[in-house]
Amino acid sequence: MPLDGTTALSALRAAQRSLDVVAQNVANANTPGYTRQRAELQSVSGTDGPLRSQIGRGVQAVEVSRAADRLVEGRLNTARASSGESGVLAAQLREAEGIFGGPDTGIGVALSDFFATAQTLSARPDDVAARETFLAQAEVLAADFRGVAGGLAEQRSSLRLGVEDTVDQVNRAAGEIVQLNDEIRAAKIAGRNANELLDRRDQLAGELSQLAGVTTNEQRDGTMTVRMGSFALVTGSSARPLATDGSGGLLDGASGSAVTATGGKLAGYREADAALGELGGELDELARGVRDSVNGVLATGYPASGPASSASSRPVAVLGATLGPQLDSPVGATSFNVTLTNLGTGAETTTTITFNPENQSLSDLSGELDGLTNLSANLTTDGRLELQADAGFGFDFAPRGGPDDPGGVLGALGFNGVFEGEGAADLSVSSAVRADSRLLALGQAPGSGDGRNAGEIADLAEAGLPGLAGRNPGEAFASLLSEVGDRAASANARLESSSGLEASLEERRSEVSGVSLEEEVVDMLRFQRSFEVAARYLRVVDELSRELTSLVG
Amino acid sequence: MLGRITLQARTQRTLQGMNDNLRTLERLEAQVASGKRFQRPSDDPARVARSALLRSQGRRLEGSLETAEVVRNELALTDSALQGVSNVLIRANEIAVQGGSDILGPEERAALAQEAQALLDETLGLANTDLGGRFLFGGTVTDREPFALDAGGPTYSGNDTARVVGVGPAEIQPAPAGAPPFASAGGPPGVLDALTTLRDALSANDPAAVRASLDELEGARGLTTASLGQVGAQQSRLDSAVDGLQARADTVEGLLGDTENADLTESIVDLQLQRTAYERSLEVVSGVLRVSLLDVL
Repeated sequence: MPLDGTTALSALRAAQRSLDVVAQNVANANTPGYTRQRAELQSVSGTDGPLRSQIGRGVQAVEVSRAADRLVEGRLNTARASSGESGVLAAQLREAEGIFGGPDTGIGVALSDFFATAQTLSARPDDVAARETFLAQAEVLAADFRGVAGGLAEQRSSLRLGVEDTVDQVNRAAGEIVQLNDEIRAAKIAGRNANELLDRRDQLAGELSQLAGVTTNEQRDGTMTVRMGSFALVTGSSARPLATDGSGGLLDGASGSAVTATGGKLAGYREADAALGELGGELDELARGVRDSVNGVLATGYPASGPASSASSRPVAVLGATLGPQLDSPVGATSFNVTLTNLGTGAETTTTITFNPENQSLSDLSGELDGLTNLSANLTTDGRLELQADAGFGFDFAPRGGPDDPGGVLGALGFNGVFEGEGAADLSVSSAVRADSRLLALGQAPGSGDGRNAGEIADLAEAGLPGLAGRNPGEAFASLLSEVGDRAASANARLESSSGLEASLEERRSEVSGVSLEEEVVDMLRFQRSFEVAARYLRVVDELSRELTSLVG
Repeated sequence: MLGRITLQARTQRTLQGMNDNLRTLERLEAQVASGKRFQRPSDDPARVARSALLRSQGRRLEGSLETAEVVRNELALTDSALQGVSNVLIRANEIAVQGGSDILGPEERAALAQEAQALLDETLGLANTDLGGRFLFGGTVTDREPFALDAGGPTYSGNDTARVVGVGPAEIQPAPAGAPPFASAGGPPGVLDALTTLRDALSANDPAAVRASLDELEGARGLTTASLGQVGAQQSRLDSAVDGLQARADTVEGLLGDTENADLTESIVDLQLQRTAYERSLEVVSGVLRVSLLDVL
């Protein structure tokens, strides 16, 4: 055996290399996404020669490996996708809960106050103060509906901004992955170490999972393919940009075709938007239910201001077509009394009109009303039915003990109505009634002290309404509130379970890939010792060769 | 292979445990601070819905009770007006008995006629009783005086439609509708008719006619008593309706309390336990995270 110290030198190199890796690990103990590295040591076998082949030639650090577990990484990304999704959903629904308020604030209170004021009004229909209170309460109710609907609309538009932000982040991360793909492929071909690049790419893949619920695949050439459902976001060294359609939907930026997010924040935004839309729809239903039922009672009433000389309905799209389907309120076959009063003598002529909106049009109704003496009915170009009594006459639809429009046609057409608007967002109190509270048709027959219609409005609080699937307004609001709560609670539960899973997988990942300082300290001591001993061996070799040299000398 | 314990894993686990503790602590604190079982619908959706329903029921009962107060005031006013009429009729009866006596001279009858006129005016005032500008005895015509006296006797310009106010399940009529008992409606003469007859007989110094008016006065008294009886009946219906409403309102109130209010003792004990647990966990964390291999090498 020659005294050349090559073996000891390789040991020194290997120990030094291993210490370098320890230093890198310790330096990155707190770096997010860092994967613990390890110098893989291999003994070097002896080369040729009969004796040499028996003893190895030292040690070699063949590569620096990463302690990454693909399986854990993959499951962690799935968990990130679902916690990203439920996180957005839970946050949005929590905000929606705030908009709806509780049982002791907002619409719930305004609704019951409104009906309670109607109740008190029924005892004093001729008291201006009571009428004004009732109208003020109606305005509060309408404003509360508008407030909640406006809040929901605002939230949905901010949700769209959220989608756009997220799409920007997705595109940025995808762009960076493309760049890393190129570098990693080049490193792989050159046989260089790409551990830090791989860490960064895994971290970006994790981010993308949380943002868009992507699935990733490593190709044989080292590049990563990223897919969002069937949409290939990154393939090798090219990325397809993701775009938005301006209303919260996703588009393939290249082809313009629609893309559906399958998980992550983007899916959370989509679900939150759908949930808010449904809640808004139910709120609209409630608003329309209250509008139709209250207006329906007032339509066949007798106002304190006496019989009207003219009136105009809400507009209808096609005058000659069947009326029912054109109205946004439930209507059916009906009959009602039209009374024409001679304002001079007080003489009344009452006629009963029957009308079926399921097979008759507004023109038909206009024709029937126009046939009455002293009353003319016209249809305007914008689709309204206008009624005009002859001079010295007035008309009203008060039942006077007769039929009171059970099909709700007059109410749906908006005669005598106090509420106006198509839904919760634009519910308002009729400005005409607001200006003159005597127009409130609180009686069922002539007489300023008749408050039976006010009583009927108050009774609506406990009546099952056709527009609300047979529930009364209080029940409809309570179930809306509990639906908001249920949705928020289940989104919260989803968030809790998915972030619990994420945390436990994150823990699992750091068990495998994280840096344990204790371990590094032990490694450091180990390699320090082997370095020391190898150096000692070199000294022995040196002494031996000096001994030999002295023999020669 | 058992998992390695790394610094990150340890910090994560500790942080998460502390966060969970803190979240529970916050929830309990909010519960104790507000005294309510839920702060937002998602805390307990079913309970929130029940509370919303109970609140709307409670508010409706409250509205009915407010209405009952309005009706009660009107009934009281109706009652006192009709009592006033009864008293007028007692005095009118005395006048008629006095004035019908043959020993009375024309001056004395003229004096009595003046008193009868005063009684007539008083009755007209009572018949036109109003509550803040709303006339009670005109049926549903409440915006003008229902009774007037002209040369032909009393006239009625109200209508026969009774005002009806729903108070809970009961329908209360706060005042009689139509001309009786003040004026005739084609039937027996009313109070104003009888008093007019008396006054006219006294003015005419006609003892026989004065005596004859006694029958009319008796008839009018009958009508008044009948009306008073009706008002009394309405009052007792109102009372029983209010009792029912009040009982229901109390029940709803109780149920609402059960639904919304947190059990304070339980919450406070829970809060205390949670607080202790949190403090201990902080101590343990600060002890454990400090330990390192370097300390012993």
